[in-house]
Amino acid sequence: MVIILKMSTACNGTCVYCSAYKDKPQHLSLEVAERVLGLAAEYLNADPRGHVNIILHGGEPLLRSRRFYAAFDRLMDEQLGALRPRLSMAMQSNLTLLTPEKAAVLKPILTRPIGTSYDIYPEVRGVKGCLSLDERWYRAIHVAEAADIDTGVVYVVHSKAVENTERVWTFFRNHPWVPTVRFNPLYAEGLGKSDDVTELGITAEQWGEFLIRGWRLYERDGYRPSFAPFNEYFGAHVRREPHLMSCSHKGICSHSHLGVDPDGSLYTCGRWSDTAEFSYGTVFDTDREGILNSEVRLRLGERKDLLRAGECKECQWWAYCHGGCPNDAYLEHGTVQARTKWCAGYLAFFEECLRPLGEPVRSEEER
Amino acid sequence: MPQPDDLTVSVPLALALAGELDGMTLHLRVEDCAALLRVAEQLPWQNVHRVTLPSIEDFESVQDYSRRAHWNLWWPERDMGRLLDLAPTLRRRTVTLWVAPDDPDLHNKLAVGESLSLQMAVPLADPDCIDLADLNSLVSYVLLTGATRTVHIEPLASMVNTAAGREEQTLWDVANESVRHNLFVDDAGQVSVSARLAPTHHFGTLADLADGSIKSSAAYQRLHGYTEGLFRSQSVCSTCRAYPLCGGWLRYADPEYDCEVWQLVINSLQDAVGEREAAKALTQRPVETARERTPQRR
Repeated sequence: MVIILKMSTACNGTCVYCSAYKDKPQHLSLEVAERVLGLAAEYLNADPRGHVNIILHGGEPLLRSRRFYAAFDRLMDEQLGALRPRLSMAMQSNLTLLTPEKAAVLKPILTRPIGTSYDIYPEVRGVKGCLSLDERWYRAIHVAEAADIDTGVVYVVHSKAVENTERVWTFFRNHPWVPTVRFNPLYAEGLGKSDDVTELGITAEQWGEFLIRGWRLYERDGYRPSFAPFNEYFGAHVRREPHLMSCSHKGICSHSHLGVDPDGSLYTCGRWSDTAEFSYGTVFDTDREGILNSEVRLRLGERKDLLRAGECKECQWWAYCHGGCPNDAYLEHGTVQARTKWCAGYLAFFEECLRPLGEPVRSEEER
Repeated sequence: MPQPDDLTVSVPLALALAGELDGMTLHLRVEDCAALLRVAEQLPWQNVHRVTLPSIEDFESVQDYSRRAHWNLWWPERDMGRLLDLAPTLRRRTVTLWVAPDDPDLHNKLAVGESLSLQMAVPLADPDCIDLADLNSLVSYVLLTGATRTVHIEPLASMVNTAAGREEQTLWDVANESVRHNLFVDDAGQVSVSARLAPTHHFGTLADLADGSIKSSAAYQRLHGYTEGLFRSQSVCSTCRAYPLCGGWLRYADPEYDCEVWQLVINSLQDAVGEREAAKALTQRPVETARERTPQRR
């Protein structure tokens, strides 16, 4: 189980495509945090071999104080007790507010890397205040390094990156402080829906172009860079491990993910919380049982079967995609019972890059 | 006193430092073996982990002083003799034979060294010390003969290993100029990173080394912040394909240095290794099960 927990919807960033932008920011209370950790304990108790990963998200989670994280750490002990070793904690942050003092408080909490963001196009991302994003980001990277906190980069692929795939790829492959990168397509949510971002937006075909160019570079580099989704496709297609794909492609996110807003509202994941649709209720009025039996969750769970029987019926690449992210489908078509808007791009990539390496693997449920 | 992995000192300086080394490891550079022999008994051999000698001939006279050290022996120009006689002695110790990149006998020496299973190195003093033709033929030698298994031709062996993901060594490491790991002290007690950069990079004196204040010197900061600067400014190095092997070393001393030749060489090496590694990765794929081979549902 992965829980995306929004620590705050406020952010000090000025990224033009922000999908999580909110006019009236909210901040997670310790009361909600306590409930969420209690929910995590419920999941762990229900499945003695299970594992829960909480991703501290936002907005910008580092806007929260050291005092807040120290209290959060104590809550983890109180709510989880002996279960705590089975709970891992990661963070998604622009990193710019990481100080040595905050890193010291976060170190015992974070058992997984901080996913951060970076772009070689400075006009795309920014931060409020007099110091530049670069200035702050590099300073924070060194703070994380000194505190022995791992970091990775999530890169939002926009039209400029598609045009300059090799430049973007090589920059990150060379970067001494970026061990891992995940490339995600820019999608139209939050500020990403605004007209200002139209030029940066990409089509399914452009996403396919990016994937194809990226795969050629991945091949050139001996299939070694830890760059997702390329390493995941390599795992799925060459190592026959499609189950290790990311949440967008496994078709089980309604079982495996949960998003929690600062006010305690529950969603399938952080993206649904940004869209503010398909809520399971709140941490105050439902529990694990309530979530499992939620009509919304069951409806999302049916998507896979409906797509396989419908518009994805003929697709040989089903195991690699499962119709893609339901939130992407919803943003494009207004319903989750449709395949991802990126479908054409994925198909072009699968056929051009993966097909020559062998026939597609069948999904586990179809074997 | 801070402890770099490698503090390069001369014989007189090692002698002067003998009482205050306290676990520090030394790279002893010997310019005159006779002078070394005169004071050998007083030298702190327990701290010496690497020794560079000016000639292979001299090795016989000093080899017993440190059995733990890695010996780098220069194989001087126009000297092809006596190697067969010395080979058993050289094999008994951890020895790398150094050949100058512009040595007219370079290839013959590499071939002889390889045939005797001796470790060889072609150290680079500066980016311009080797001609493109020699560099290319060295690359071919390394790639076609698989020489890195028996002969360690630097910097190519490290480049091959780095390109294959087996280690992470840039030219900074290969040239022993990594500011994190290497320090060089001249006979006047001035600390720098290497003999090459000593004239332009004064970190301070031995006393500054003792109290750690060399780290605040402008020269140290310049070297230390160099990599970050390359990426923050999105310099040509930050998006250069050769960067993982070069690390910006080629253009450090002269930002205008035209490294195109090196890029060609490094990229051809990366292509060859990348192809090999890709083929290896693809052949390690699991065998399809009979179940997987059944026709796909359409």
